[in-house]
Amino acid sequence: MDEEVSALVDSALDDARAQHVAQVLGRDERLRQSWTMYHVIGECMRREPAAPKFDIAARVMQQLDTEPTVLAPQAAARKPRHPLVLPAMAAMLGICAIGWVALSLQGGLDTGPGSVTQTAQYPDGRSGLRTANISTLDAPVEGYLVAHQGVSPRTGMQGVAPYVRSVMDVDTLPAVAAR
Amino acid sequence: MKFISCRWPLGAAGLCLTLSVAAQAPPQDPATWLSNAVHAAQKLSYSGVFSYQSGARQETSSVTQIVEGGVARERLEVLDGSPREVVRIGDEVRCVLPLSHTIIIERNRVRKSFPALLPESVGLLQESYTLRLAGRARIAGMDSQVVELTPRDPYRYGHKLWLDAKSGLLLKARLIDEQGETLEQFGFSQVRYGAAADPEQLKSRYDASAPEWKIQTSEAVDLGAPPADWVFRNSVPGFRQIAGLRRLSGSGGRDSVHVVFSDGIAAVSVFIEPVATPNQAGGAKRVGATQVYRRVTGGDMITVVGEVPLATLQRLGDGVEAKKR
Repeated sequence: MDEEVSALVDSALDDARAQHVAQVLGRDERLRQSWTMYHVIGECMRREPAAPKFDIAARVMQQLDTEPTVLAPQAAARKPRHPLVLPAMAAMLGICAIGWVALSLQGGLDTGPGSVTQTAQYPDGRSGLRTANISTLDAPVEGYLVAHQGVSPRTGMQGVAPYVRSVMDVDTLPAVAAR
Repeated sequence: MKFISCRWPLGAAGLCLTLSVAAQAPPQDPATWLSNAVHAAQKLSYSGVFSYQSGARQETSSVTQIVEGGVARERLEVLDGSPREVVRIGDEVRCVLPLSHTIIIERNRVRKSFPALLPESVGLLQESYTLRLAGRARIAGMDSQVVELTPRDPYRYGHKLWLDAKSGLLLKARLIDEQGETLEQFGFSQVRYGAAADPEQLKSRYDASAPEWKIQTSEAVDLGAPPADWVFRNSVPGFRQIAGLRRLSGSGGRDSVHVVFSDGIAAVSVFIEPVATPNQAGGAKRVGATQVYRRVTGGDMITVVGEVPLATLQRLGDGVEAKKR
């Protein structure tokens, strides 16, 4: 799927395929991150400054907030001695971005035995509540969704309309890395 | 956690009272508007087109409800993507998923005996939300009253509802996260009431008796009391246990316990059942604004479903324990 996202960034997909990939992007937070990164990488390679609309710093900070804290020593980033000119800055940003993409494609850092990722806490991006690190559930859930709508107060107030949540078209593409 | 199924007499009295008030003058308080919306959804015949939006996904559906002799018949057809269908006749709901050639049939005989499932349980609502009338707006060519439910804590999302000023019918609904962002939105673009609702629209486009359809049936019966074999160690503020059901699935004859928690408008379903296959894994999944959290413990799996933050599902799910027998 990542190749297809990359191809979409490069406008190398036909309309039908592009529409499908766009739909998958709408559902998949991780792929949306890849999408942003491919744009940043593309801009770095074309020696353009990162487009401010992607607000890369905010996204990286947000990602750092939501990633588990990994308790492993890391080399301090070397600070540049001279004021940076734009292309050099873009290139640096590119390196950061590539590093981060690689990290997120692996689905987080593998810290080996005694890994803290299983017990690390991160805030639920939506609610601000903290939830433990949870892997993606890779099992059909339609039956549960239908049974759940049947007991929801919203169904009493809205008739069958909330059932559209339970009958969404299942993505027919191979599942993306479960994360 | 208290098991409340004794809300019926109060709920019924409250509903009768609010309806008689509604007939005289437009209600002034948000709770009465919500009660009227519930009444409208169950008593009115109508036909319309609405859109559903969640993230980048948007779908348009047609929906028709005809109420005759106290029995409501409803049919929804998704007009974008594969032509999925949801048909409800009385207490039976049939979902047709043409892509996977699956029909899910759900019979819930206890729905009517749990009026606490309806958001007219205003006391419960006010524990968890601030209710307010937020002006008027024009939706689908009609004047509507806006009602806002702002959560008092981060265990639930906010709701913004647009109710037809004349009929009370819910015309538009938005689910809002803590940052004020819309998680999902339903909105009618067109509604016609009464005789304009076309009975032809209730007919299914599928022949469900054809052999290629896989049929999954599930029948819910009332446990009448909290499930005897399970305890819920964790509570979530504002959420009460409002129903305990036993689900009998036709295929494979698997049996599960379905416990429902609600804060008056949001519901969380907890399904407890023996693990289906060895190496069954837990995890979480988001489908539109609905989240699913699964935990596997011993030989059982606990699946928690709701339109609430994942942390709420996790807290309830992680607190489920088998009673020592």
